[in-house]
Amino acid sequence: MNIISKVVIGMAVGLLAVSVPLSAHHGTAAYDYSKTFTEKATIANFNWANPHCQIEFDFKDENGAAQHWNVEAFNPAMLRRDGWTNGRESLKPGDEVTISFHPAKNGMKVGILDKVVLADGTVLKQRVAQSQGGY
Amino acid sequence: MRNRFMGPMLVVATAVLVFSPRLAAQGAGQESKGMAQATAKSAPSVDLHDLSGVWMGNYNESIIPNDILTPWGLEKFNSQKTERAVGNRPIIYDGEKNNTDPIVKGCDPPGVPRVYFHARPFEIMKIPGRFIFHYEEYNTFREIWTDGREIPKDPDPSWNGYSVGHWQGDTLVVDTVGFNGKTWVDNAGHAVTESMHLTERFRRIDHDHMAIDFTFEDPKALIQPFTYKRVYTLHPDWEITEYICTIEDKENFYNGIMAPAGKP
Repeated sequence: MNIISKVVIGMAVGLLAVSVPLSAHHGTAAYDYSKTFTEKATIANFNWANPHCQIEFDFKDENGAAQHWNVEAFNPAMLRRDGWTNGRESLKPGDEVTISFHPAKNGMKVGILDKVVLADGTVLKQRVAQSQGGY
Repeated sequence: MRNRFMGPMLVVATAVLVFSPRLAAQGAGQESKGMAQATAKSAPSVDLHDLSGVWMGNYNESIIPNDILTPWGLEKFNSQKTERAVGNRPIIYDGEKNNTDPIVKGCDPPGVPRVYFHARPFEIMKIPGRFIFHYEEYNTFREIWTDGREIPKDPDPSWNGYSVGHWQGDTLVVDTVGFNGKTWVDNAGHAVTESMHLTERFRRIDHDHMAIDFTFEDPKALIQPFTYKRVYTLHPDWEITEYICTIEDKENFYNGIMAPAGKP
């Protein structure tokens, strides 16, 4: 491999390292961004709080076993700018949603939010954060 | 081998360049410069000395290159324990026990200059004799004195330092000293020390964009000055809101997410 190849590969690897979604408050190395789980779930709790919101939800997996997960989302200020205009009322316990998230690498039932689709089709994402290159 | 792999590698490198936030920001700056020239005749002119408004930039992990660190600076950097994936340092995904990241461990304010490298907005306000900056992250504010005073020789150490500014043409040049050494320059964990002298050069490129060049001089941590450039975007419709991190909030998040996510 010649020097140019090494430089190009080095650039690609180096830039990839700063291109993945990252959190401003804390790092996100614990999450597996190569996986996105999508589940039809029932909201158990929605914690609209700093430094990051938490969404707890329940669903039955393919074997019929009950699963309870908790995923983090951005902070309230940024989520409002991303269209979560109902604020802390955006998600309520009992809401039936379709939620997509990236799981923790270690197999624990926690993760980081990709998006939530409400029963009426409303999609809640974290668009500003993503377009800004930081989670 | 060269012929077979160079094509795909260039594609990867190009794609990565396109999606890299840091380079995208610099690209946006160049584009904006062109836009400003193109629209200068038709659009109403922008007051280049009016920096007021809500601005936000991209998230960046690492600002300072390790090859300009002093031995002390490198040792300090390598001793940090954080869940941010940087270099060969082990990743610690632990919200309080071993994490040395001040904003995670104790909800410490990010301080200047780290506060600029998060995707969080800040508002610039101008009143006679000074600018006031209100950073949304942990709702910290900062004064930049423009009344002609000299920068103090030995101010009390603080998170944001003591700042004086003056105009050089259309560039607001701000000198800051008096840092308390408790925060980091960037999210990777490069140290801010009490000997740091930060120079920020603010330049409004066009209506929607402002460039800030950050020059770091720190004989304790850096073997030479280093300048980092980036572009911030105006968000006229945004309000700065309350974003406070308390110990209770942090514990709640740690117990709910960080602790389980970080279990080996």
